[in-house]
Amino acid sequence: MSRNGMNGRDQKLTLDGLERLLDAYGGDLSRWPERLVVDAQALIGSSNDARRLHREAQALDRLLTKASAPDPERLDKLAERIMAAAGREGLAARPDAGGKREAAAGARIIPMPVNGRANGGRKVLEPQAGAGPAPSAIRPSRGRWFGDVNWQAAAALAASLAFGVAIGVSDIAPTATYNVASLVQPAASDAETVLSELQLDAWNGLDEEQI
Amino acid sequence: MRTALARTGDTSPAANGVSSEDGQLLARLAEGDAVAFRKVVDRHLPLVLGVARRMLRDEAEAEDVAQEAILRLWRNASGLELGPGGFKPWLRRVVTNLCIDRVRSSRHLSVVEEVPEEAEPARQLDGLVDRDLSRRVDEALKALPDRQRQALTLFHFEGLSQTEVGATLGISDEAVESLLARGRRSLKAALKEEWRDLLPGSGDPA
Repeated sequence: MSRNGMNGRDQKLTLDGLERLLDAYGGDLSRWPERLVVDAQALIGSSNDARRLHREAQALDRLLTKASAPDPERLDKLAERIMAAAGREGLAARPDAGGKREAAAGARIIPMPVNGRANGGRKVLEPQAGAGPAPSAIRPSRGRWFGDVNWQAAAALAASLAFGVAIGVSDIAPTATYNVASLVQPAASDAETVLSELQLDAWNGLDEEQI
Repeated sequence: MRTALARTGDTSPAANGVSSEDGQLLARLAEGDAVAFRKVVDRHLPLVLGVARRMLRDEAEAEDVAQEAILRLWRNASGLELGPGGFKPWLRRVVTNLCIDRVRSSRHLSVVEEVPEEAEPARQLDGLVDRDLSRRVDEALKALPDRQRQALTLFHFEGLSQTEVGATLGISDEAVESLLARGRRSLKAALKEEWRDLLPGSGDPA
């Protein structure tokens, strides 16, 4: 008998051969090598013993599907562990990836308001609950912070202060100071505008006390 | 459940037949998009961990290997070439190779350990019976020699063809058939009562 359980002379599949093939490939004939399927089907169709062997193989197939799946709780913990590990690797693993790679450490990406509106797809990072200790990698990098997100607002704030100082020590009225600051306000966020106003008020107050 | 191994060649997702969603995710991964990475983790970790758990006998080792396989996707996304099956064949191949390496280098993994208890107790008798059956199947699988278990995992659980299993394990088709036959024969003997309960007419609805 050949390796595939064929009778040597007429190449018919024997019962022993069928049992060996069922042992190897199981009861689902669609998973078998194509060259063996026709003979197997013929034997199963013509022999009670062959049908019994086939049913037993199918039963073992069904039993194997009972093997346990990963526990969902462990799966969740592992997913968090992987996100944290990816975050720890950060940019070191892929220098071409830019600042976005920083987000991996259990962080989620949310739009940040700039100038009172969403920032058009730019991303900042916020630690996610349950993600474990947030690695330093999730903080915005220096290049990112000063690179493209807030330089306009910072410049506007600096300009406001410079005007405030220059005009505050001059004889121009506080009202005029406020108006000059308002001219650069559109480039700054609401919070920064409030800060500008507070600083101007404080400067004016200091002027009055000193005088 | 049949799949094909990832093929190399044209890197364009559309050109090489990668599903559009996997292609888009890959492009985002290549840019370092952590949200896309999280989506890939959620979608494919069960598959990766499932393969690792069946190929290794140690739950913690399986988790380590699953983590490494997924992280390799993260690290290599920009240079990755996916085949028509998207991420799955690539991940399956990586996790399989990692498992084989682990088994080769860490013989202590052949120690059979108990399947860890799940956190929540089963509330119904059916659940208890199913879980007990799962435990017995798991134990029988873990008791198999490494190569037999690897071949069974790839062929029966992951749906690889005989030739694909041979290519993955680096053995001939004949050797695959032999490993599968010996493995299933051992399972058939070890789980005789269990599979007999599943025969038609045995009274078990399954």
